[in-house]
Amino acid sequence: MTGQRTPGALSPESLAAIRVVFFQESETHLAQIATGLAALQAGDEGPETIEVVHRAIHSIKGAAGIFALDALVRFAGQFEAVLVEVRAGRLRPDPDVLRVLVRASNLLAELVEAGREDRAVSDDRTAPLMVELAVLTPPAVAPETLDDLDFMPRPMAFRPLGGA
Amino acid sequence: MPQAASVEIMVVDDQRATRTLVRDSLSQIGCARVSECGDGHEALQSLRARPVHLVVSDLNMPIMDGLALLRAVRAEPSLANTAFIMLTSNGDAEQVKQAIALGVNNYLVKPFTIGTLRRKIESVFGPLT
Repeated sequence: MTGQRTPGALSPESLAAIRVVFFQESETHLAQIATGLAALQAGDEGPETIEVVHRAIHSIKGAAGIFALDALVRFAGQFEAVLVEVRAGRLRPDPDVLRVLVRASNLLAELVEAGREDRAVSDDRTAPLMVELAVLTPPAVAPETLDDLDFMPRPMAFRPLGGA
Repeated sequence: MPQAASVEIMVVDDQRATRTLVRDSLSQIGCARVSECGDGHEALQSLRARPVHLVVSDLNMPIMDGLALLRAVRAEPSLANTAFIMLTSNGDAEQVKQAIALGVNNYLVKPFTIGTLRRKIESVFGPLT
């Protein structure tokens, strides 16, 4: 089920315009992922290539949350977790790993398209690949969340700009 | 107790969708003096030329990410009065810890509501009028 998670009181027109931009930018991100994975398959394991793929997946995941595209957010999160392992050097992007990542890239594109068309995607569609991706990441350790952080906001005096 | 309309804010994110979301949300709070940059390097250049009261920046960006921008802002004496709120996702705890160590004023988790955005700004500057 998809639907917009209204962030406060933005107008429907504003949200609709942001949604259009999100899907336009997602196309760019999907192209970056495909290009990056092709480069990895061609033997380019440079950190910048891996970083671009990771950032593109992260960007789709982050912005999809605005529109409550939950299946997309979950899948992108698992996909991103594998790229974190690759980026950290803990997982080598060998041909077997890359085959999984390419299939993940294709499914991510499918989920983006479903979101654009406001179509629900069954968990049955994503679950098998989610498992394959999970196998490539460390055993389940509850990730630290921001709720776990002990942080007090740091107030700052509001001063006129240009003043000393 | 600053007036919302008097707060100058820079939104830094490589995604136009997110920049627009933050800008439109700020507009609902009454903050209309908002500029945008697509990465940390562009933001730093702009801040040096024209400081703002508050930077709201994403973490993950090309060229110069949010942590590098925060580090640069904190190292620049002319930007000593610039408040910094990091825009983040719930899985970014490690990077948020680094932001805290670098002196971030607060952080904002996506997706957020307008009410949360307002509270984050007020946690830094006090109540907005």
